[in-house]
Amino acid sequence: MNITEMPVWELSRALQGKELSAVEAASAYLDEISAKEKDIGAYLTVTEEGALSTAAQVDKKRTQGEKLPPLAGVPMGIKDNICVRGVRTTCASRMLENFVPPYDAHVVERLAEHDYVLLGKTNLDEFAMGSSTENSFFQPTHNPRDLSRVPGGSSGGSAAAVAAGEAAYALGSDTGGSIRQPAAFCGVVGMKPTYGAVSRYGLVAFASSFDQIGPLTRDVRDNALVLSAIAGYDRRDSTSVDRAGGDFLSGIEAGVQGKKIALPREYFGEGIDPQVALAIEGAARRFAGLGAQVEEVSMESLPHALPAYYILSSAEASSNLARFDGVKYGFRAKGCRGVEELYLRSRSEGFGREVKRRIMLGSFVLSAGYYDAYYKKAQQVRTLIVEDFKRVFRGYDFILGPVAPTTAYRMGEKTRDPLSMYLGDVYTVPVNIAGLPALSLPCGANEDGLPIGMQLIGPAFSEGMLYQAGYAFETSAKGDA
Amino acid sequence: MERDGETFAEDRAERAAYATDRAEAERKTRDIDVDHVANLSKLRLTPREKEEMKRELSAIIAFADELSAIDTEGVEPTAHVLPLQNVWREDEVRPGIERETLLENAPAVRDGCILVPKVME
Repeated sequence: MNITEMPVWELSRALQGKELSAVEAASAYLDEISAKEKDIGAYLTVTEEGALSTAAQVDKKRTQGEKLPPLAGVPMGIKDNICVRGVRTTCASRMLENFVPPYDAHVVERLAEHDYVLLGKTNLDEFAMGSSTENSFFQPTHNPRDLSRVPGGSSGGSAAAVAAGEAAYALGSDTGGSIRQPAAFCGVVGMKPTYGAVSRYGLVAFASSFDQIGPLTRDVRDNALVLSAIAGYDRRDSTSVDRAGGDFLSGIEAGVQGKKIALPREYFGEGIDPQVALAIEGAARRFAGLGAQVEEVSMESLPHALPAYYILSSAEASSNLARFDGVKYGFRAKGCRGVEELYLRSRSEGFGREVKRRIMLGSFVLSAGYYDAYYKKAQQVRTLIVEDFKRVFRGYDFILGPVAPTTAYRMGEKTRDPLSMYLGDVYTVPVNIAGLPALSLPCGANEDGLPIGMQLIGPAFSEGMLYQAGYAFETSAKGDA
Repeated sequence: MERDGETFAEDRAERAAYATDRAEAERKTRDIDVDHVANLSKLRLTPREKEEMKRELSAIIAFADELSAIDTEGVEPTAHVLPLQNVWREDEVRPGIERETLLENAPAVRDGCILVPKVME
């Protein structure tokens, strides 16, 4: 058995059946990391000792006859903007280069209840701002499918680790597409849950009304398994929704017979790579073949989502990142002679280019004289987008569309012009604006073998249905191969 | 920022008036007062960074200007998507993290306090 190629549910079964030990699984993954990291660079911190010692504890519990939850002993990675107590958490920034959180994020506590095994913290764009992981202060991450290309971002490290066999699954975060787009670029499955479904306690905040944590996995079933483990109410996150976390696995084989799927015409406008459009059209045909009804719809608000997103998310980011001031934690510039200099120099020396750009943009749109024209206007456009989705979901079960207008581009290709990078988020940001769940999964490849991902977007708290649709698609596509 | 004997309120009113005038002027040229925004952001930029930032921000704002064409008359702004409001908890003291642990990440510590440069002259 090739341990690092097994999806989580298979590995979990093997561990439960004692076909292999957790220490063997962890060691196999650590070996893979040793071998591949110089090419991929998915990890900022590898927690080798911790992984082996927790794995040993899992094995001990099992030998003593304890029945353990499904994720016990399964080695995984966590994006480095999610706090793990005692483990350096940098947000890929000089600002937090030596920050060691004194607490676990809620999702980490939930995984600990599952006796999870942490392989390490994965790379990201600094403070999750970016779409290629090239904005990391420490290192870029390379796409395992083609090392000269980006893995996407900002959860590029997590996506690359899962795609390269350096983790059985990983956690990422998605504010404007940061789980879904790297999943599409690397050919893995990523879910951005409904806003409020997964607690943000312990996730370093970027844009508080957009951020969500979600799983990146090899297949749909794995994703449902991991989401079931981390979703649910947490009173420490005041935007956490008080409803049962849910078991997203049960009924996953229900299929899509009779489902009505909407294909927004605005998703196929200018700028989409023809091969990507072709793959999505192919996916629509496959869904039709599985018994669903696919229809084109129009969502007029969609083209306004991108500018609204950059205004709102930057405004929220400028507020959230005000806490990094060189005082209580994080980078402090040396030799500062007063509080003003302390703030100015710690922030200017601690933050990278893109982060500064977003903070400036945010401060600008919130400033006197501009607030109404930009921030308030964007909030009103947000309402229009929310309503547009609601309207579509009155007549359709879910929406099908591309995740990104292109496949993975080459490193350095878009770093010169920030706006060109932002344009790549055009299909993902509407989902965060509306707070809806969306599943990104592979639906083909282009002529160069680069993965193409599709997005299934559903009404709030419809993750179960999205997994059903994704599972049906995946099974059918596998059947053809 | 020197005050020269102005009261805080006068200074604030003056700054607000200046802000509105400046905003009017800028709106016509879509030119961003990078110094002002950098001060709001508590960032210190080199002259070259300011030039690049001005260009980049202007391009992004120009892109965002398309929103002005949308009719949002009577549309309520959405701050966040959930119908949650005023999420309170009971006003009871709960154990927190120990001071020693919290201070481990502080850049400089003395007597259980965080050490900072002199704040006032």
